[in-house]
Amino acid sequence: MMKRIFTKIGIILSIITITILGGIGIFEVLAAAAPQNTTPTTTNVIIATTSTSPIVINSDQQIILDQFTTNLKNEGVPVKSVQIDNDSNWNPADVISVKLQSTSQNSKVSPEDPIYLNLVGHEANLAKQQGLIIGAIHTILLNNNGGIIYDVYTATNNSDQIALGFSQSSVMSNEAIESSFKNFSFSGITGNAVNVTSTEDGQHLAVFNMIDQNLATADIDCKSVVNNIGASITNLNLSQESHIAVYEIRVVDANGNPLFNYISDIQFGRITWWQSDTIAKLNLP
Amino acid sequence: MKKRLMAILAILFLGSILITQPVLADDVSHLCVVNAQFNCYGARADISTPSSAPSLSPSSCDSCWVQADGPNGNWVSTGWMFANGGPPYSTTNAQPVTEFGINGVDDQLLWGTQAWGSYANYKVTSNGSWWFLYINQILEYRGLTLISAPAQYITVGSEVNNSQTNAIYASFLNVSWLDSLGSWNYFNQNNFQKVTIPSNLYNPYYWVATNDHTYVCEGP
Repeated sequence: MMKRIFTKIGIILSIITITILGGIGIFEVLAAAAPQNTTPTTTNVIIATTSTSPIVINSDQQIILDQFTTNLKNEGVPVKSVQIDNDSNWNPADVISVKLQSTSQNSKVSPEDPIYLNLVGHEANLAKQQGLIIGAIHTILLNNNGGIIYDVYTATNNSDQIALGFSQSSVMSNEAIESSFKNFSFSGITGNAVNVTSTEDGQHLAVFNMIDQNLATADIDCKSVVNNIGASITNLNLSQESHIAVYEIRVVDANGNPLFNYISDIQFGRITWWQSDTIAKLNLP
Repeated sequence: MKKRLMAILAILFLGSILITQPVLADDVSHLCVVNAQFNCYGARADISTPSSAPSLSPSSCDSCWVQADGPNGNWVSTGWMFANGGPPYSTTNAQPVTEFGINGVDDQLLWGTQAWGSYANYKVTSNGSWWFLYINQILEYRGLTLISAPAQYITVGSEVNNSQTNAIYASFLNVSWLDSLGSWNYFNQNNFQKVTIPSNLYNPYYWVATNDHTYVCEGP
């Protein structure tokens, strides 16, 4: 009898234990299986977009801003307006706002636009280095109908490439750099011309114009060109202090239609490109 | 009868223990994942770099990121990348990057370096009108809502481009998505496939969202 009672008590205790442990386990499983609405943190990260307003800057700042605008126009960038806005999302809150006119007729950018967008960033970062107080760069692109097709703020970038010598002016002439790339051709793409110009701060901008006759392999060809020219510029910058701060690669087809426009701002770390829909999608890094 | 009952109880007892074992608190965040969340307003993750520089094939790139994708091929992304692609890509360091594709422009901005074996927080969010990209809580990008909010889908993942041999050893912690109320939620680990790096995610293999919460690897 006692045995039976102990057995019953043992069974009841076992059931209670299992119920408790099993219950915990089941709850854990359920908790893990359910959508994870347990918030790691409940933080309202939504930023109230403040309306920007133009601000008046002093004469020293205005001189730098005027030089910025001049540099862009000299580089062929279709600047419509430049102003300094106040936008508390950035630190400092002063934002250089640049409006560009695209030749685009629709919502897509024109082949030249990525080049312009990159150059705006480059010149704005240079202006900051020269003393312009800005926390961000605001670039707006308008199509021919006046519609906004690109509206982007990016933080200014402090150069991480000073080690490459961009804080000093280049001692290499434009012609010497151009001669380094004579007869350049890579995997199916023929070099047409390389033009090197000096920038306001003593660096170089190199533009590689190329022709690809074979649309079927243009994506592979263009990628190869990017890698080869990039490697050559790295070697030249390191071995001869050529100070190529920015380089562009422009590839057209046999009829002169743009296939691929690529610009690399080595100095401030930005790569921007466009490619034609007529060639396969480039798989760039 | 008694023996049979005890045996059943023992099985139930062991079963309850076994059921609880695979579920660890760290499961949600200590995996290298390729993940998707639909109809949300952002994603964030603490993403590590490998302990040392991975071996890159020529012209290849390793990267880990959070990304918002919208219609018309527009997208915004932030993470780290290590690319063998000419300047300004570093040949020695991983580089935090903000990247976007907007109406035909592909744009990458590099923000210094991320040390090997270290974590950085990457975040993409939207307030309905603008998209924001943050690296370690610092705003680096704000773009017009060319991607409607909520995003078609948000992804968190690793990627090897242009190589069948590269491998990424990286971890993702606190992988979370942002709802319409401004609250962060862990991704639901039960509803997506996970992959431990190194993987075979090389081009032309890539992971795509096929339906809600699900990722699959598509081959050539």
